[in-house]
Amino acid sequence: MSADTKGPVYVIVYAALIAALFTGGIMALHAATRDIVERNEHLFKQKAIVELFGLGDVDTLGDAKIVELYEKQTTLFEDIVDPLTGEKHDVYQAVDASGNVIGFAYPISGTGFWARIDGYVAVTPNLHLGETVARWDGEVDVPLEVKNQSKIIGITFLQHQETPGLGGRITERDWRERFVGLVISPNPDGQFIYIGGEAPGPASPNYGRHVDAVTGATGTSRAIERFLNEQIPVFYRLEKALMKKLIKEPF
Amino acid sequence: MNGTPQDRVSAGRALLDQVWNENPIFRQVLGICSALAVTNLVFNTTLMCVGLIWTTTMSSLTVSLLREFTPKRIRIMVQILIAAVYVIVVDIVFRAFFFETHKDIAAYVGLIITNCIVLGRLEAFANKNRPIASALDGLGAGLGYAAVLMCVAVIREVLGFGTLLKGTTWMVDVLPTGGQTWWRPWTLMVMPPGAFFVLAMVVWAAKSWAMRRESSKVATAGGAS
Repeated sequence: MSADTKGPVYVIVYAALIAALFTGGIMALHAATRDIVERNEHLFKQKAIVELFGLGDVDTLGDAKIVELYEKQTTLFEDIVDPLTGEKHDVYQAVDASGNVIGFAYPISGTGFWARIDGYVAVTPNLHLGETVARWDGEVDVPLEVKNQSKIIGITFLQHQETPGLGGRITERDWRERFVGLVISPNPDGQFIYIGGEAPGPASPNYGRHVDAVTGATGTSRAIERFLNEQIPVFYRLEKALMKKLIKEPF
Repeated sequence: MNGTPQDRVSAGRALLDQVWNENPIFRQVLGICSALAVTNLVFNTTLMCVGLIWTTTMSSLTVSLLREFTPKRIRIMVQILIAAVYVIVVDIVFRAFFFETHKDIAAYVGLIITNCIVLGRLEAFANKNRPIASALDGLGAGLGYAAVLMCVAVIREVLGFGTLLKGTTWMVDVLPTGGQTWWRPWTLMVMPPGAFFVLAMVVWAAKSWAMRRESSKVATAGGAS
């Protein structure tokens, strides 16, 4: 050890050099992988949306096919305004191979057991366009008919920080598939779906609205139940807003 | 660890010591925080171990290379910086090539920086020894950690989920799952307390085996407990 390494100037210059050298290396690596990471992120989301609507088996389809399905059969409507809160949300619409609307996917988000969880829920259409009526003033009037039997097509979680193997299992298909077919029409007690607890029998008004909690992750399951029930009414408002937008500017 | 200089430790000796004689987990009981968090799935554990082995090896090598130039009073800062750099490299590589698993374990990969094994080996060994011996010492510490973690992970995943390598295309059903069989997945194994029990059992088994071997020779000093 030479003596000059003790001098304050040496210490400062050395610290600065080391920091610059290593940080520079990290920045270079980050820049070199940025494209791959961005592509991964896009593909991850496209895969999730394709799977959410059940457009194809994402495990066996190649990446190119997934991108093709995403681009052909889904449409993203950005910034649909919730008339009640004024908040803007991105809504996806999906059609089947022959062009009939399968349903809409609405964003969900809330605080999980540890941190924020983001995802999408796809539901069947609740409204559909009635017969087009030409009005006296030349405008076209399209009444919206309510079907009021919306069911969940799929649920997906894009972002979460839950414990791997515990709350993290919300992303596993086995659990998410249990949501498929759940009824989300308004319920007398105000709650749309139930996660965990005793499964209601066929006689119960809550029949068809229940999924089991994730094993060992009661906190995460309760959190999802809470924010999902809070946000399901938003789906209805967004659907109406989107339909109005589509009537005004048909695509 | 003791503070005596270890300048004459041979490279092979350094590797072996860390893998077995002074195994970081069951001899020194260091770095078990991550052992509890990520060991319920074998695949996540594998990535975590690869990350740690890389970090201990490369940061030991780097710290050793720079040891003549690093001022003593800022050495810990430099060591942490070096460890952090290699962890960020792991994070970036995982994000680019194991995107979906990265989403699961990102928080724990970041925590490798503060894993006591890393700083422990840098300060106790790499700071005072030649580069090759230091790299092997780091590699040994990483391998020693990985060996124990993999044992814990295999036990936890098999008993907790009934599978091996769940979450990958190589998943195997080890125990029958589903409602109609004799086997019920053991949820405790999936939860963090399960790791405490399994880790304790693994440490117990390894230590009693080591002690039996040593009792035939003259008892040598183990690591810190």
